[in-house]
Amino acid sequence: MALPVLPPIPPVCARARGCFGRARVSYLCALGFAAGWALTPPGLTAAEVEEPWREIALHRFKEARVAFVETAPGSRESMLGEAVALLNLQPRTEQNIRQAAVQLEAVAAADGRDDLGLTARYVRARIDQLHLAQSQPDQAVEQYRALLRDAPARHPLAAQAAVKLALLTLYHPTDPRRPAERLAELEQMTETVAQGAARRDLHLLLGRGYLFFDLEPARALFHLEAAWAARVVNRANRADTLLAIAQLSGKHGDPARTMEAYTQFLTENPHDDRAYGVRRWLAGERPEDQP
Amino acid sequence: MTRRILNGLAAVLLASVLVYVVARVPWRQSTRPARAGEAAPVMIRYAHDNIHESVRIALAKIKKDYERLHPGVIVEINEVPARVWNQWMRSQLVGGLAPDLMKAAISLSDADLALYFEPLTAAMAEPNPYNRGTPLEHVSWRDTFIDGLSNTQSFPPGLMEVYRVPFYGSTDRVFYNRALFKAATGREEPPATFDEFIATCAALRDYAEKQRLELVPIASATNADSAIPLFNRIFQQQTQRLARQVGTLKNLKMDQREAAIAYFRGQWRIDQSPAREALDLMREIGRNFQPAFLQARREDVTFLFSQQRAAMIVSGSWDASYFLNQLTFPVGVFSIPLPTPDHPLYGAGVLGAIAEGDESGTGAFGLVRGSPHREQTLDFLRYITSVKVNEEYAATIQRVPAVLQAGIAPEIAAFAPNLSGWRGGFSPDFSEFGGKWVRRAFLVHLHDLLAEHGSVDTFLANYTDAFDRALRQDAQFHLTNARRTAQRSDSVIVALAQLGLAGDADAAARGDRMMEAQNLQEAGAAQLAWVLATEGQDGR
Repeated sequence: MALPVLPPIPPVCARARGCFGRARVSYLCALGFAAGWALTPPGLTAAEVEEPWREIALHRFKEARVAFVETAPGSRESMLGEAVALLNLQPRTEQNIRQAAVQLEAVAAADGRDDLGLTARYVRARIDQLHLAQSQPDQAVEQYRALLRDAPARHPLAAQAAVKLALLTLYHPTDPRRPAERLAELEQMTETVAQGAARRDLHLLLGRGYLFFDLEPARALFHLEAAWAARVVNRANRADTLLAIAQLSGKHGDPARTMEAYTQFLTENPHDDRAYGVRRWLAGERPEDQP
Repeated sequence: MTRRILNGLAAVLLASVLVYVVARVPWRQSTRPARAGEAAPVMIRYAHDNIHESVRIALAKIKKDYERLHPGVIVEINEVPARVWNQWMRSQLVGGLAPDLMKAAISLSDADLALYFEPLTAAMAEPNPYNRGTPLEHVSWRDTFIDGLSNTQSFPPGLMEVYRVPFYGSTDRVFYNRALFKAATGREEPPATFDEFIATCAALRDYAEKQRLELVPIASATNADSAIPLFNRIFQQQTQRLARQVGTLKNLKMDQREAAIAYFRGQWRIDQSPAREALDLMREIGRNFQPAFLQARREDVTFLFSQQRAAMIVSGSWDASYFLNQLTFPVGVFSIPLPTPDHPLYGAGVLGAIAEGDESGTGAFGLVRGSPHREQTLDFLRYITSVKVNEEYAATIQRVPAVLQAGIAPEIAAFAPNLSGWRGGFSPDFSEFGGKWVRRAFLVHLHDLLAEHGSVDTFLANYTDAFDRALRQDAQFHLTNARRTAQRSDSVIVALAQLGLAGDADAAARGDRMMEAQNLQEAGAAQLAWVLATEGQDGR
């Protein structure tokens, strides 16, 4: 039996937004989505659902949007996917960004704690932080805080709310608190982040934050070591982290760790243009306290 | 009569068609669809814009050897003039007509690379089978390249995948006329120290004056192949110690963002040491350039050197094939010996010669997405970047091999990258920010530095404020770009995360790499924005 296909919700939401305000629009969209979800044709294979996401991974935003709308019209995944595609659809317009925001709110309004809802909430916060012509950092902060309260450790994007929150807090231009106070507050957050990648990134950010503000090198070392233990994945970041650990360890009376980190750096990056200095330093030619 | 002529013409036309058809038979046999039970021939199309005789010879040999090694595979080489390469490349990519393997020009954006080219990271993790029997037999393909493909062209930070594979390397060098050196200084060997180099320039000027020759010591253009890299190199060496002292990441290097942050924090000034010494050096070397060098293009200075009206030319390995083979006089090659740490005037900020490992990969190619013969093309890419083949290829085209263990032909040994040197500090033109405001300001004021009646003081009197303004513009440009990069990567990261949640481990891993990179890039941008907002007035 041919199931009726719902008309596209997003334009309706976008038009309605001006009349009813965000809350009502979200409500209406949630209703619309719920109806759409109920009417979505069953039996889509995993590959069919995944294909539009693969289009986005290839930067094929236009094709992805069409695919999402056609594959499972009106479904939550379709709304989420279309919103994510809209963020980079060319030409990039403020209207598209706002339409994406409305769709994301609708997805989250239906269930903000399942995988789709958590992703929608993360992307919605990113819109306020990064995608609008005029960023709304304070609104993004509130959304990240709420997301952190609800996020299970297994969701990779929801966990990243901690890292984005740290960025906004640490470098907020009008926050009256001194950097040391902000860092102290953020350090408490590391205990609550269980997801490995987010924990790693948070430690990297804090370590580099201490170095940037020239505060407590020992704390910088602690965070960089914690990040290293959580497994830094990119080759360039691994090299930078190892060299910073080596130098900071040397200044804090741990020559064994310095040697170990420099040796690890050479093992991973034998042809890096910093390797020559490190090799000479390890060979005992140390004109300075660093290679 | 007329009918007879027409019949004759028709017969000639028929005969021509017959001859044409007969002549086409061998070609059609190589490209026709396979019959049942017969393997279809595979044609790999390879396109480039490096149209030189030596490249043509090298590629013809590679094609012949590869086809012999793989019966049933045909390598078709398409040559496209460099002047139209970008337009041609783009039209082929957009039209879905692109060859299997093509030069991935640096004009391609991250989005272009992701859309039109295959990521090669996974394939790069495995050893290159064509390296069997060499010391690189068990080394991952990626680690067989001199720089491990860590440069931003091969491994764009916004994509976190390997997209471009270099076939040869490039190094900056000076070519010199050995006969003129001998006549002016009594020796053909290049100078070994900076002071010897300056003395050689003085001897060449004296020689020209006494012999009444139209001869300048050095020919140089202002473009990216000539004076700009030389000046950058001078500055990078003078700032080696400074970069280690003020770099906040403690990673023994200083990228342009960190250098800008240090400037806005007042940790270095363009009119104070060590920048001041770098400018002194630029003037000392630049005073030996030909008059009106600011207007000179690459062709102009090539002509000047070829006509023996310049004893040296600032260039690099990309010109080796021409200068070493086409000129009527003997040519030598050297790297300008910059001051060492023990130099009384210019040694204070220096650690030593600058390492060149990160300059090793150029002429990079990409595997086009949707290639009908992906695996075969990937195999061909492995073949051409294997130790033996890359060595032969580089030797034939007189370039530096891109692969470790590949020997360098004796005649181009002087172009071998220095892998036993120190990391440079930072360059003063901030062109990596993309706006090029500082570079333009520098070129506008450069005559104050290099003109006969100019001086470092005159230059600084006019340039210091201009530099400050231009660097702020470049920094803002960079922040805008960083924001756009983060916006673009957001959609991709979310898509990869969704695929990861659905069980695709590879997508999850790539998303993780991209997220880590994005977070650190956003942190770096936030730090630059911070100093612009809070400490930006202290730079001068």
